[in-house]
Amino acid sequence: MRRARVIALFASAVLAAGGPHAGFAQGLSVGGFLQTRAELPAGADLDFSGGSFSRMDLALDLHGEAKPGGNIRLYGEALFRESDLPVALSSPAELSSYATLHPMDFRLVEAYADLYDFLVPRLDLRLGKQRIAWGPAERVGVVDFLDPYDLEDPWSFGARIPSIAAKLSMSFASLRIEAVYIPTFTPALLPHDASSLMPAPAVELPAPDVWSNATLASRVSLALGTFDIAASYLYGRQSLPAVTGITGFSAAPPSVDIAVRLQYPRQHVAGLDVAGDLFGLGVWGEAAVFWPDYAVVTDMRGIGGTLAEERAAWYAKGVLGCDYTFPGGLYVNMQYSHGFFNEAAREDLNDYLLLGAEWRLPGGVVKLGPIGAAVEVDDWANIGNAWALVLNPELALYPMDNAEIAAGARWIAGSGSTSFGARKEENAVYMRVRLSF
Amino acid sequence: MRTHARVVMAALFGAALAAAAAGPVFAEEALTGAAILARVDETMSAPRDQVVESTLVLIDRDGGRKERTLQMLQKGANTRMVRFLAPADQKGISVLSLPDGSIYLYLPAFKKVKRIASHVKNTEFAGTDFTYDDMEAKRYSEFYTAELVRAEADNYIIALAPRQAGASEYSKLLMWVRKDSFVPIMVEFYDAKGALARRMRSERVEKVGRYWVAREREMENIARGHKSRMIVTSMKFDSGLSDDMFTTRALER
Repeated sequence: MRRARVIALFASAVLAAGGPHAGFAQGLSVGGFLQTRAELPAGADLDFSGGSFSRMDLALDLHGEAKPGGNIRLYGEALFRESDLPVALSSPAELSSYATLHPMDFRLVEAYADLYDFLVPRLDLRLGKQRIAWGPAERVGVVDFLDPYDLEDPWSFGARIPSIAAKLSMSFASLRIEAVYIPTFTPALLPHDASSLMPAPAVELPAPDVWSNATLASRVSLALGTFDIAASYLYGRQSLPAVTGITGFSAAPPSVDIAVRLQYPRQHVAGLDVAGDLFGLGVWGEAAVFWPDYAVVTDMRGIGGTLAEERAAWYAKGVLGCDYTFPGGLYVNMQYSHGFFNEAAREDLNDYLLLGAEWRLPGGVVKLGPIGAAVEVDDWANIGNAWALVLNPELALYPMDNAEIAAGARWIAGSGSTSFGARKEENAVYMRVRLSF
Repeated sequence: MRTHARVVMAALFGAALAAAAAGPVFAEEALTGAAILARVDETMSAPRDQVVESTLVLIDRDGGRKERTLQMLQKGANTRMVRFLAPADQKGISVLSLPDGSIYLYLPAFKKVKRIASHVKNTEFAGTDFTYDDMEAKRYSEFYTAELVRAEADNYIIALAPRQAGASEYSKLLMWVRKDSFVPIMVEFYDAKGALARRMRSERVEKVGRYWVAREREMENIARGHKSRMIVTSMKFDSGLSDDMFTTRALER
């Protein structure tokens, strides 16, 4: 009920604006998009005979922006999404429930206020729910560490959920200093099948006090010639849980049970990133060193073993990337990543090569791509059994302004022991239509 | 780095091409190609700053049309910000070009300012016929040498060649320059094989205040048969734009 009220309030506020330059505030504008997506799974054997969609939803995005004064800007964005997949009923009474038959999801994507020249000139404050995107890498950035992951669709692994935060930015010519305070910890949104992958864990969220929840971060960036360089630091929590306890016990001897404890440990992270132009080639790099602040306690005393405690060691991740546009408009992009978003221990870090290509035909009506390819290698010494490949070709049409019709496919090959290879069942074709307004 | 198009938008987006009304009139025979090009540069960068809003109409070979609305802020000859105001799916896309040649792009969907490497500069910008490089504000003289080809009754015709061999994808530019205002009313771009690749025309050239203005400009891609027509809807000169309006900070606002 409360959610419905929020939705109604937001929709009323946005729609009441009536369009650009209408309403109470000068510079008020609204926009958004309507998007429908459908995905047909093919399974590991590329068999479409199942015929049922694994995803079919309709989303309405509304965003509004107001500039009530020269130094104030307000922005809000909400997403309403209704799933049209067949639902499983637990009782016939649910046939009378619209909410059951048409499950709807509401997200307040962003809602913030910008106060420019706040207190002193060139000091800006952004307050509210906001996306804080740091670093030049695409999707696999290691210094984009502030917002929690949005893994609802695990194949959108670059997606983040904006944080409710206060961000101060101070600019002096080409130097920029940012400081961020996020008062509340929010864990990553996991894929719908995540719980089935975990061995009946006990997940502990941080204590609900101010200090346990807080994240502090800062970044200093500088333009030097044809390069932009930045250093960043974070003291906060991992948005993905880590195993901090393994307990062996025997509830019904002689069988042995294992209890796993998951927590969101605190960590210090120091990052460095650079982006620029090297002989016409776009190049970028990111590196981050993580110092996790937790220990894994393994207690096997209940089954005749010992108690051991091992502190988590520091580890480093990195990304190197480059891109180029060939005559004729073919754009290619290549990124090498050591460590993926879900890898948070030195021994878990694997190597990934991500390739992207995009070619928009002259006139911009047809776009081939992004043709994505990802190669994962878990063990170079045993590469024959520790590799995976993902191909993701897409074709998009833009028949008129504000309209996009896209169709694509996802094909996964490789060893089931790899992150990508373990999802071979998720081969699929999909279609997306988006109309912006 | 290719520089062919850097100067094109100085003429296109810098629709408020300006010349001091009371400027000296050179005797025709005294002007060399280089002097004419210098006057063109003076004309284009005469205002201390300018704010121009334009409608950009994209016309395909079959006559199909698409419209974009742009706002351009320029300070001096080589600092410029271009922002898309419409259509909805491109609204907010902004490009900042700075005197040192740096170009930054802001894509609202990604909430990120991105430095553009020079390879991108010659690609289409947001579905238009213009390139990222076109978004830069530059002086012709920095990148081209000029020779007078001939003088007509109302125009000079000068040939421009890249100062740096291989620096441009064009081997030559031919420019028609009005004698009374030094506004280039037509520029032809010839590719490496000497074939005509693009043609830019200026129309409705008139004086607004102290400055000469081309209210309409059209860029034609000869091979594709595609045109982009830019129609100025509003303009303001010398309003005292501050340097702070040409920063990555301003790009995100």
